[in-house]
Amino acid sequence: MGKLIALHSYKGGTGKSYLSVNLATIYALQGKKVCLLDLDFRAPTLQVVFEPKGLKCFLNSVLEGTISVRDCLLDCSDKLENKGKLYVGFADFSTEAIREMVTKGKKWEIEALQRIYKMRKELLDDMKFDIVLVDTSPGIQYLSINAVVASDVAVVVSTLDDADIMGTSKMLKELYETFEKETAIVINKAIGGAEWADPDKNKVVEDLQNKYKEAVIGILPCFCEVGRLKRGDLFVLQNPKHPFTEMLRVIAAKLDLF
Amino acid sequence: MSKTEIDTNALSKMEKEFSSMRIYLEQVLTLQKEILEKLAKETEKRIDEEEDGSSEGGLSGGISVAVLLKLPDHLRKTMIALSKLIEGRADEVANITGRARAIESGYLNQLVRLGYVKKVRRKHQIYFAVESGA
Repeated sequence: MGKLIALHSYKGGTGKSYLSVNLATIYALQGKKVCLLDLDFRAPTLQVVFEPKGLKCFLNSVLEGTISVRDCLLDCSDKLENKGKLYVGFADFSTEAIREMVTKGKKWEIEALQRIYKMRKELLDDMKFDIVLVDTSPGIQYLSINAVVASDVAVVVSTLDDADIMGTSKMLKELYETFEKETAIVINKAIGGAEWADPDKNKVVEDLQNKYKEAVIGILPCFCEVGRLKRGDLFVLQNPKHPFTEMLRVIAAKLDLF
Repeated sequence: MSKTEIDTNALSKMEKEFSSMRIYLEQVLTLQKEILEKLAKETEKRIDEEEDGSSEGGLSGGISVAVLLKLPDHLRKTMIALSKLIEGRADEVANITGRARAIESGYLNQLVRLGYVKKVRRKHQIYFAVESGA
């Protein structure tokens, strides 16, 4: 049985989309059948990474109930030089579509939860994906919470920014705890993290675990070369021996254990 | 004291202990039943109040995050498990929640009474399904 993993964060700019693309790549290179979905309808990103040509069908329509998720997945395995199986579902990135999603009402969002559950069943039970990664919008919004609720594991990406830590703790306590969600925390863009000795790193992990009351499964330091590479050039594919890739592999292995 | 007398005494002592354990277990079961009934009544009352007050998060449009947040913890867990299955039996829900089948059956029937779940009978088996737009 496959697993649906939702990537979420309290604040924007934590690197959710970047991590979801690179985690999907790692899983696919391991031989797993992977599906990556862009449910960040307010700021879609995956079209920049995979540059789909002539795309006519988006996840927006799946949540409207007009098409099945199967019909809007694009086989992007060639992006991995066909070393793995990776399918991607895109969010409509036109300005009109983004504006429309922002103005959706409560009724639509209620139906969206039911459709996300239906989509989950289709991807895991019928299409037999091993891993479905869902990139969501930051913050406490219905659509993101819908994806988190329907997931098997929620990965909360946080930075070491005080405001982010405070907001993330509150979100975990008031929302994730209520849903008894299996949750893992990943700290991204840790400034100076690459120079930390093991005891320093362990102390940071311990402090954050005390604050979050959830497992911190990885701290990814801020590497300039990671930020420098274009999103389209999948970092973990281009740099298989870089510490960032190694750390992300450890995170992927820890997520397998959930 | 002979061996037979010791055995008889030990047996009689064990019988007394079993008897008191049975009484204790019966009391626990009765209390459990009362708690479940109270929880069911309380939940129904809360939902009725919501329906009377405002449609926000109520039954008007099916299951939503708002409705899930308003359900008591024990029913929320059942509802989330059933939502993953879309349609399933009590034992399948129990497999996901890790609770006993009989407990899940009770909770699913509470959700049926609340209007979030519908019951479908198929060849002597009862299936539960999430109401779409209840």
